[in-house]
Amino acid sequence: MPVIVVANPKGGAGKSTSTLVLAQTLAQLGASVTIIDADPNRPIVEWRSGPSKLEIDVIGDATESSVIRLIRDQRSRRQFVFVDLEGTASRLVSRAITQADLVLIPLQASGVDARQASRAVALIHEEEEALDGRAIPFRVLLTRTSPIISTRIEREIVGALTDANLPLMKTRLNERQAYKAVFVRRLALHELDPLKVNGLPEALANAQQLADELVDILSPAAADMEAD
Amino acid sequence: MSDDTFGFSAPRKSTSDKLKSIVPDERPSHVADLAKVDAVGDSLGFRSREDARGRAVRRRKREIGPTVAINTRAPERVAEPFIRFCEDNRFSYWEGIEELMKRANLKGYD
Repeated sequence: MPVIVVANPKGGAGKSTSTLVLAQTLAQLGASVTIIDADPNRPIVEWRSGPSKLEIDVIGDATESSVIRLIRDQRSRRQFVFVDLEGTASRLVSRAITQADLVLIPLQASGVDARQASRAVALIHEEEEALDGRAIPFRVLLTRTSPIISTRIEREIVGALTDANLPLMKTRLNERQAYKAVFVRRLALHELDPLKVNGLPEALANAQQLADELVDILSPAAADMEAD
Repeated sequence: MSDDTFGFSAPRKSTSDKLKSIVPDERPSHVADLAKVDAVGDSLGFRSREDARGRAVRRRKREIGPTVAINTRAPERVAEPFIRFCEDNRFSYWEGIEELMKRANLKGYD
């Protein structure tokens, strides 16, 4: 059911990594998952062309005119539909958000990322009005964080989000070599060789924690409460 | 009397169990008035980036001649507004520098 749209108009914020890590973790738990790769660089289409045996459907070639139809088609067939959007402020982004059950806004702890993320938040609020008040739930996800220490800018951004009452994922996607390796090797996290990838168990645990939190947000009881 | 009168120790559902409650959605999908949504998007800078055939519009590469690399470490107060200026105007960094030089009527540059 849930359509999870991953958006931040800033490139390099961690959209594709967050999408793929979450999709892989849910698929590994047995969920049916489709990713619509709407990034012109097609990183997830490229990943799918590799040797991974994990069952995830990937659809590329989404355009402004086709993205809504693609999402609607998939949501009636799959448990999870992820939409990985381009790092640009575009009509494709604004249209995809209309179909979201949750918008995930990844951002690295930097001023530039945070300002661009705030554009996505502003768009969501404006679209809610254009959609006659339908709530579009969203969460900000801090990415590429250190698992050990929190930087000053990270604390400032969290403070600003909290002050603005913007919802933040409790789990952060840490900086891990394994997350880069899934794109390079075109494998799933659990298919990587722990002898060749540093910190793989920690990456798997971080991914699992993030997926747990996502499922908690999207489980029907929680989703109904959010809509109320 | 049970040691757990209020049931607080009931086992927490695992993520795998919760996944079973999430199923493909047969309900009608969210209806959007695209004209309204596009107008909202346009007003916030989320404009169309495609041509009539649905292909991403790419800026034509200019013939720029020989190049040199400039690597610089700038204070955040300078770098962040500059990066924002380039992103807002869809300039690469060298195009952003060129634009600022034009606006400053820098001598020796036309």
